[in-house]
Amino acid sequence: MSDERVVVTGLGVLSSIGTNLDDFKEALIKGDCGAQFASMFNTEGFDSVKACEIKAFDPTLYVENIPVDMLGRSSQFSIAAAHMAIADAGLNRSDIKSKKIPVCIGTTDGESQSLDKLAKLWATSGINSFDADLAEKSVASNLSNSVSREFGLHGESVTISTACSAGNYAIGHAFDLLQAGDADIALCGGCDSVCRKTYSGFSRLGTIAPEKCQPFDLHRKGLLTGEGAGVLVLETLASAQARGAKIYAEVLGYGLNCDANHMVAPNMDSVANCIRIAHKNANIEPESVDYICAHGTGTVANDETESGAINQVYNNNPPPVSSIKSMLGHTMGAASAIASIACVLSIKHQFLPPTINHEVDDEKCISDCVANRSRKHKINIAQNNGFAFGGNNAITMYGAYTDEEAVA
Amino acid sequence: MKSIVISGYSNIIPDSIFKIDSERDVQFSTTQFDTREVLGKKGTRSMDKLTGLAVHCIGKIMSKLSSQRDQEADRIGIVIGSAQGSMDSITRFTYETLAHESPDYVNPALFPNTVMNCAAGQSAIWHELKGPNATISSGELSSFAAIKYAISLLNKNYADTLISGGIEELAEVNIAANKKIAEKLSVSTVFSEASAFFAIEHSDTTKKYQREILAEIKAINIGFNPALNTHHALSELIDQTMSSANVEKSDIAVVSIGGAWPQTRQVEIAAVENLLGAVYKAKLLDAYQENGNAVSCHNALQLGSVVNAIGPNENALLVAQDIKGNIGVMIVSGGDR
Repeated sequence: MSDERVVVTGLGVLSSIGTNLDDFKEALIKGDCGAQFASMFNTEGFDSVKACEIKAFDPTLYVENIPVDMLGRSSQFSIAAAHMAIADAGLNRSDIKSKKIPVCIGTTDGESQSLDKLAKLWATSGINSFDADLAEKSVASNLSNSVSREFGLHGESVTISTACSAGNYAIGHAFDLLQAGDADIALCGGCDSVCRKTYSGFSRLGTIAPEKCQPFDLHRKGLLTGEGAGVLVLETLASAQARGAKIYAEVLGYGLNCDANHMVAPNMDSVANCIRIAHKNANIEPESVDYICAHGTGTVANDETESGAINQVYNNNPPPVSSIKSMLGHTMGAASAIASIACVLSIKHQFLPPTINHEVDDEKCISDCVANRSRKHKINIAQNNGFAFGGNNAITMYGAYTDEEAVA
Repeated sequence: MKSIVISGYSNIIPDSIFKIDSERDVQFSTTQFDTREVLGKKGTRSMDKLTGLAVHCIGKIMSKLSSQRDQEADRIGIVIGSAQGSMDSITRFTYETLAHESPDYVNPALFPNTVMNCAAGQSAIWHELKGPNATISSGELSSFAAIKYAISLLNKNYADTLISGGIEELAEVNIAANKKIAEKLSVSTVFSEASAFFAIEHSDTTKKYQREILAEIKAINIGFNPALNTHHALSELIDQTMSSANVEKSDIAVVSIGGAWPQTRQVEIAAVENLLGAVYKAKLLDAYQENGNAVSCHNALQLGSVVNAIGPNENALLVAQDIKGNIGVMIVSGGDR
């Protein structure tokens, strides 16, 4: 018996370059930049902080069943993205209420702004001044549990906290649940808010870019922290066909592995192995991949290591590779979920999102990073790279949906 | 026929659990574990206690897996349940950026401790395990959800053996936070620090490496109960899990509830009585009575007690609900002993 085919039928996205799917798609095509002076987290003690933030966000547009002030910023984001994905899939709230729909949300920092506020309370009034509501709001599982509660869903509700590849983990897990027949429809993706903790950490590691994020550029100076959420409605093909849903693309499979080598530094051979695992699980050969959406943080180490791993697997002849982090910053646990949405859009609308801010090629990096301008391109299969602290590599594969059986 | 089995179990728990007499009292029961004392000074300078608890507890299982690891390190992975990583390391890092003249006084070597997957990543480094490595956050149901996730990976053949369980540290920050939460809920309770892990795999892997089967996980399901104070979602999940395990209620020799909070215990008891009636023969285990509320590690300790309590071919039913509405049901049967 062959496993169920799994397709993408709904997309919801919030980012600094677009807070709905249409705006996000247009921004990817135009090559917009979401970097501005930071105002959405506590930057005291730092000078002229740039970040990729969502400046105007009204949670009451999306949240109906939970008092908004009981939700942290990240949970508000995950509900908003889920709301948009559900609507985009042609479902409404009453269709899904009380159904066994799993919710899998990846994250790096969980409810980071609530944790930032606890730290601030501690610094100003002592640790016994902690507030119970704030402590409850800070629990990471709220990211998935808030979605389950808001929409009245009974399926499993897990937050996968594997840092910056967590979105891909969550999508992979939902894919497995659907293939196993545990559910017909799943909500999955990733979500994070900008926060002082993460900005300070990368700043102290010397990996924050002062002005702009320039992945694969010779003079790249690091990443910009960002925020956002991406949620996908995944569905068994049978379920999508039965309700006549529009199908964006097919999830072909994914790969996971662990460097087991260093908490922070990426490992070229291990990343290359993860790409091979993803290809094997998706039952495809490297030659059939048309686009790679890179992890591409814009740090010296990541981009060189990732390029080396790609060249290893693709015999120095990879398809075009781009980093959308040049546009929307590093959205941490949301990154590989939003990048998955970019892959799905690239397949649906046949274009390559660009790597903006590109000035000078780096011979240690991949040769075609779709510099500065998006291009029309035939894309049947896209690969989405996600790497994380802890050596947690996760790579998802997407394919154009055709009526025929997936090509072996 | 292939089945999912447990072939290793280890834990680190407090020496004794306090018993509470007075109303509205919140107590904390910590382990004697000291990271540098147990693991040595090399590689532990920046390691927080949560990660130390994981590294050491997983290490206690590794003695059974070392020859397998030497052959196929990329087929052994780790899945850890942790509600929010080290809340202490995370909040303390930000605190350090605020408590001094400049944020630059914070030690960057502590930054990796502030990601929730730190313990899983460090454990993989320490024990050289290159297979799937994941951290699952599902509140007090985290270790239950981690084991469910691990089994999902095994069923799709992403790994041969996964070491899965939960970890909870009691440090200054989460002690302060838990105290406020328990006070707000007006409950007297004991929070416990703990670490507990299982080696989980298909029975053919157990045979191949000549390990003993401690128990079989016949079925496991997790879900969400939006109507927190009612048992219907949990009862439905029990029915579904019993049916996929092909187990009748007369086959249940042991019932285990989580009992983490008075409210959630009521829901669990109602669901069990809905299944078995108000009076039943099965032996009742209560994880809270035994261990206190071990939060992210709670259900792993619950499963550990069940594994120790059931005889060959006996079936146990585990049920749990957490304070947010995460629910889990497992059917476990006794192993070789």
